[in-house]
Amino acid sequence: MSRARLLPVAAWAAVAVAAALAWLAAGGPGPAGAVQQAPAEETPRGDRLYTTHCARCHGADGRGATDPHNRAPTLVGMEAARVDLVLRTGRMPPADPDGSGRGRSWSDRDREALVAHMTALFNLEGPLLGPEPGDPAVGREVFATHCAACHGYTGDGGVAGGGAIVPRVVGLDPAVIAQAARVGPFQMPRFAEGQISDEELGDVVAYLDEVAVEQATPLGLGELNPVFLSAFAALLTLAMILSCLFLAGRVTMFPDPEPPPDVDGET
Amino acid sequence: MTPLFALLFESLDERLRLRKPGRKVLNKVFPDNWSFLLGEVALFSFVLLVLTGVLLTMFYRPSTDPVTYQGAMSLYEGRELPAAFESIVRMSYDVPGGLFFRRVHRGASHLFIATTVLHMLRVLLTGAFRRPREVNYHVGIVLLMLTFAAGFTGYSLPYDALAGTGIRIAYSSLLSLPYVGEQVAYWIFGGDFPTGNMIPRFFVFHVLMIPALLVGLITVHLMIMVRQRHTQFPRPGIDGHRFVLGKPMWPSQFALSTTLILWIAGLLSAAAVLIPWSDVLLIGPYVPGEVGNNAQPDWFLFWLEGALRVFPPLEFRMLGMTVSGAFVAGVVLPGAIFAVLVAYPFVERRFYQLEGDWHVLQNPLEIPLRAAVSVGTFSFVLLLSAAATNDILSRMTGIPIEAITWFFRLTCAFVPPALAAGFWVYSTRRLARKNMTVPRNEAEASNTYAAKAREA
Repeated sequence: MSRARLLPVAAWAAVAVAAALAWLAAGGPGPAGAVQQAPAEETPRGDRLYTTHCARCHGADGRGATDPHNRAPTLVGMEAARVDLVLRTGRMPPADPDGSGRGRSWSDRDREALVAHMTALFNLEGPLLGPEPGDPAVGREVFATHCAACHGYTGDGGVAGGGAIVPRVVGLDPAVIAQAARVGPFQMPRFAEGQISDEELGDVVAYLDEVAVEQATPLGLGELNPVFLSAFAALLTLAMILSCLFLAGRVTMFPDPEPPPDVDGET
Repeated sequence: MTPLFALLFESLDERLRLRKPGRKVLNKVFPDNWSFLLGEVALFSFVLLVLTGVLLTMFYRPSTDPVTYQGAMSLYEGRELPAAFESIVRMSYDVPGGLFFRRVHRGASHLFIATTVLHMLRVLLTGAFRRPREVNYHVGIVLLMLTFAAGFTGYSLPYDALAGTGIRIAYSSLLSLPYVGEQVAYWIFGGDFPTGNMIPRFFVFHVLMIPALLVGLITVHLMIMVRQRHTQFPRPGIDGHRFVLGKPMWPSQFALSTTLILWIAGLLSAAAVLIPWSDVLLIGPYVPGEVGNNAQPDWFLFWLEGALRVFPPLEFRMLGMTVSGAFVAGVVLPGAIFAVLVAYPFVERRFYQLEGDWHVLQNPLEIPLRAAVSVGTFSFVLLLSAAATNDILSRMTGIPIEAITWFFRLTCAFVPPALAAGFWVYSTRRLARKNMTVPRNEAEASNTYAAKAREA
């Protein structure tokens, strides 16, 4: 392909890469939209979902089992927040028969119906409602002190070793943030009221909301980790190299020697 | 020339004798190749950095003393912040155009360092460093180190959480120096981390010492280049040892360079609108003792960060000093890489027993040692840089970070030597296939080229 035809192709490729990077940097596919917790009530939908997906291990009575092949814990008296969180994170039902892996992602409607059903059936400890958003300024400080060590600056997420992944916490339902802090699911420590008060949780929610809506540029980018920025720096450099190629107009560096001009004039 | 300009020039020429040196500069020949523009882009980025930097200096406060922010950003309104970070918030939210110029400054810094590195690679690969240009090559290496230092201090000045973490790592790397670590760290930071001295001092480094050194050495770099003339790529029928083929400074190169600097300014302005190069406000100010999970430096220091991340955590005592992994990874390794760069021109000359001066560039595949050393060194640096993103890679792939770290330990140890050996073998065979040897002097090189031309 000639250079003249290659340049627009390269330019469009750069635009496509920039758009993909912008999408990735903005957090990729977003989490499910915010919803309020459903109250406790037995419903046919919840009953069907429980019987299909949960009862095999946890039993119809929710008491779980203790035999070596099935260590499902009892659900009776568990916090509704924990059940909700386990479903939200896709931990249950497990993808693999041995109980590991991330399973399905539930629709909000299914998850709410299931939690409401189980709350009524197994007397789960009352569902946690999301706190009212408070002061983002305080929230940022609380987040930096208690959360950023694992969840990263601006709640970007990270790793915790041993294959454990710390999820990105931006754009979540306030209820999830409250649930996670109070329940301490999986590797996450549990934060009691004495450590982070309800009001401060609301502040954290407000801070993360501010991060979620942050659109610093027309590409919809918020604040970027240096790793994502490095990709944009590479794009900028590439654009500069293309400009140099365009301006200098000659790509050849080590030309194959041509035969010297024939003075005898055979051609 | 307009009469007024002519008059001015005449009166200046009478006093300063400009005509002769002026003509020499205006007739300076610039060979025509895109890769020769990389250094120019670096120079123009530096000009833009100085211009925007002067503007930013007007609003920046080099201090970590707490002050109360009062301004338009609700997240910090009425709250106490370190003065440096407060001034960044003010610059971004309350000073018209402040955020734009901060972003142009940061974008230009990325471009500056990237093109400096690429320029250095071009010089290294094509042999533009060979005698008599070793001097300028070494000036260039010092310039490269200075760009890194400028980048790091500039990254630190906003005193956001990432910047503070970076300063902390630099402080610890200094502490790891055997025997003198504590003294050197004290000498630079003026106390135990975090000191009230570090931001004021970094400010002086960033806006005074490093730019002054950069300006001085860039001037030396350019003067040596004019004095020694450009190198050039081989062109059929041109005796490159004696003549430089290219366009004169005036008007051709002047027009090209003017286009280039305007183009860079436009590109950086567009990038500043689209990409949040320098936005650190949601991260918040640095609080000593609080570190986030996702902390990386800017890309040009990824290789140092990567070395610290993947180097095994060893520590032993020897000769009455404690040698830690942080010292080996953070000081010895980068020192060794720069030592390779500094020593390479002499090694190559000694290894191939090269003679005389060299003015025509050479395909690195025609000189196996250079191909092997360049590929080995830069694949190593690139792998270390990739290792600095091990947490992000772990999240994206789902592979545990321990496995990724081991992957990088093994690849960093084995892939660069393997690649170097591969390029050595390939370029040696390529020479044999083309019935060529490594030329000992430039006459031999041009004979080979002429012979190839006759065969063709």
